[in-house]
Amino acid sequence: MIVNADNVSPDPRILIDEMSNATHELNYDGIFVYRYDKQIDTMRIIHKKNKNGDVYERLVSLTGNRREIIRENDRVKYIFPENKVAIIEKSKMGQLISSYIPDPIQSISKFYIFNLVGQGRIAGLNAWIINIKPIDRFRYGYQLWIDKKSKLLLKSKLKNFQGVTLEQVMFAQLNILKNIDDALLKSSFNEQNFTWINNTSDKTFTYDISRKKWIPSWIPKGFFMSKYTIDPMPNSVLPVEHFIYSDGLATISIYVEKLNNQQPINDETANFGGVNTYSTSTDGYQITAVGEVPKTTVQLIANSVKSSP
Amino acid sequence: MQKDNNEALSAFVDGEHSKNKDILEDLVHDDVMREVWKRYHLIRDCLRGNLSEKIHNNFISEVNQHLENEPTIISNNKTKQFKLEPVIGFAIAASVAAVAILGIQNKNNIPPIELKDTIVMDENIIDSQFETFSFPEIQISPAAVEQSTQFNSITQQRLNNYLINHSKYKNNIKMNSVLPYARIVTIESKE
Repeated sequence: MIVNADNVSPDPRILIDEMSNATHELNYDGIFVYRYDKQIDTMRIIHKKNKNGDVYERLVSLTGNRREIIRENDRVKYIFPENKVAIIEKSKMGQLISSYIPDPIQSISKFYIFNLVGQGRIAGLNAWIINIKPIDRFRYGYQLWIDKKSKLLLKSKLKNFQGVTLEQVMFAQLNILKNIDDALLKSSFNEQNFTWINNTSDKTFTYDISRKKWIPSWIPKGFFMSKYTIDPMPNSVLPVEHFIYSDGLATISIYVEKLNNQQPINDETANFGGVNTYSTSTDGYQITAVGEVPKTTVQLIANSVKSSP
Repeated sequence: MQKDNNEALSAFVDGEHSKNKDILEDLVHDDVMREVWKRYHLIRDCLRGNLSEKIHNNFISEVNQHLENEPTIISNNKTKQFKLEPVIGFAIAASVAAVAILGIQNKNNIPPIELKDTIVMDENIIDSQFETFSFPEIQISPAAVEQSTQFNSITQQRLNNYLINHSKYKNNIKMNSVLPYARIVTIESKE
C-alpha cells in the first residue's frame, strides 16, 4: 500500500511551527487580499532571505492610496508618495520575539485548542486547515490554511467566539521562488525629492520592576508582559509608557499617558477589524488598552490599571 | 444586595450599562461575580442554540415562547469605528517630525483621495464552511450589528495613534507577519 505523504494528517502545532519557519526562510512573491469589517484591500508582498541571512520584505498597496513598506532586517521604511514623505524606523516586531517563552507552542497550547479540521485549496495550492480555538471568551480564535508543500500561510481568519470572521488575509496568487531579483525589493517611486524622517535611534528602555508604578490588576490567564517601552506619540506632549503583553498568539498593549492640558478620553471603545481599543482616564493619566482580543477584554484590562506606590 | 448585583450583571451581559465602572470593578475583583458572569453567558448560549451537539436543547423552544411574552430590551451599546483620515506622520514616533509632516501636508493642501478602487461589502463575513469552532452556524441579524459613531477628529487621531503603534509591536510572527503591516498600510490609506 502506498501512502501519499501529502494526505498524512500532521500535528497542527508542528505545522504551525513549520509555517512560522517557512514565512521567514523562503523567498516568495504574492498578492493577497486583506478583508476587514466590510472592506477589502489588495496588496503585494515580496519576501527574500539571502545567503547571509539578511531578510528583505516589500509590501505594496494595490488599492486605494499608494503606500509601500520596505523592510531590510530590522529597518523599516514607510513611503507615502502622494505627500512625498518617507520615514525610516527600526522594526519593533523583530525585537518582540519573546525569548522568555522556552517553547512557544507548548505555552500557547494551554490557552488554545489546536485542531486539524480539513483540507482546502487556496491560490491554486493544496492546504491543511487548522482551527485554533481559545479556551475562554477573553480571546479570539484563528483559522489557518497552510500550504502542504511549502508550509507557507495561504489564508487566515481571525474569529470571535461566535465564529464570525473579523479579519481575513488570503493569497490570490503566491509564487515560491529560488531567487528574487533585488530590484523587486526597491521602492517603485523616485524618492529624490522626498522629505526623509529618520527615526532609528537606539534608545532602549529597561523596566525596573521594583519601581513599577502602573499595573493591571486583571489580565486574562496566560498573558505575560513581554516588553516595556516609552514611546513618543504624535499629538502627545510627553512620551507614553507602553506595556506589551502576549499569550503567544494575541498581543495586548497598555498605554499610560500623562495628560497635559489635553482633554481626557473617557470610556471610549473603538475597533479596526479584529483590533479593539478602549480608553479611560484616571488620576490625570490616559489609560488605553489595544489588542486583537474582544472589546470586553480591553475594557476590563484598562479599567483595572492602577498606580501602585 | 446580591440580587441587585445579579440584575446589573445580567443587563451588562446584554450590552447595557457598558460604562458602569462598578460592575467592571466587581468583575475584576470578585470571583463569585465572575462565576455568575460565566453562567449568564452559558444561559444565553443555550437560548440561542449555541451549544455543542452533545447538549440536549429541547427546552429552548419553550423558553423562547416565554421570552416572546416579555418586553424587548433594546441594547444601545455602540462601538465607535474610526473614520480615518489620510494623515501621514502618525506612524512617526517623534512629535517634532509629526509637526513637520503636518506642516508639509498643509502647505501642499492635498485634497483627500477618493478610494474608487476599494470594494465595499454589504454583508458581514460569514462563510459556509468551517465557520464556527464548536458552535453551530448562526446568522447575524442587522439589528445585532453595532452602530458606528463618529469621533471628533482629535479623539480619533489619538486613538488612531495607539492602534498604529500597537500594530508595529504585534508579536504574531508565528501566525502572520504580513497582517500587522497590512493594517498599517490600510489605516494610512483610509480617508
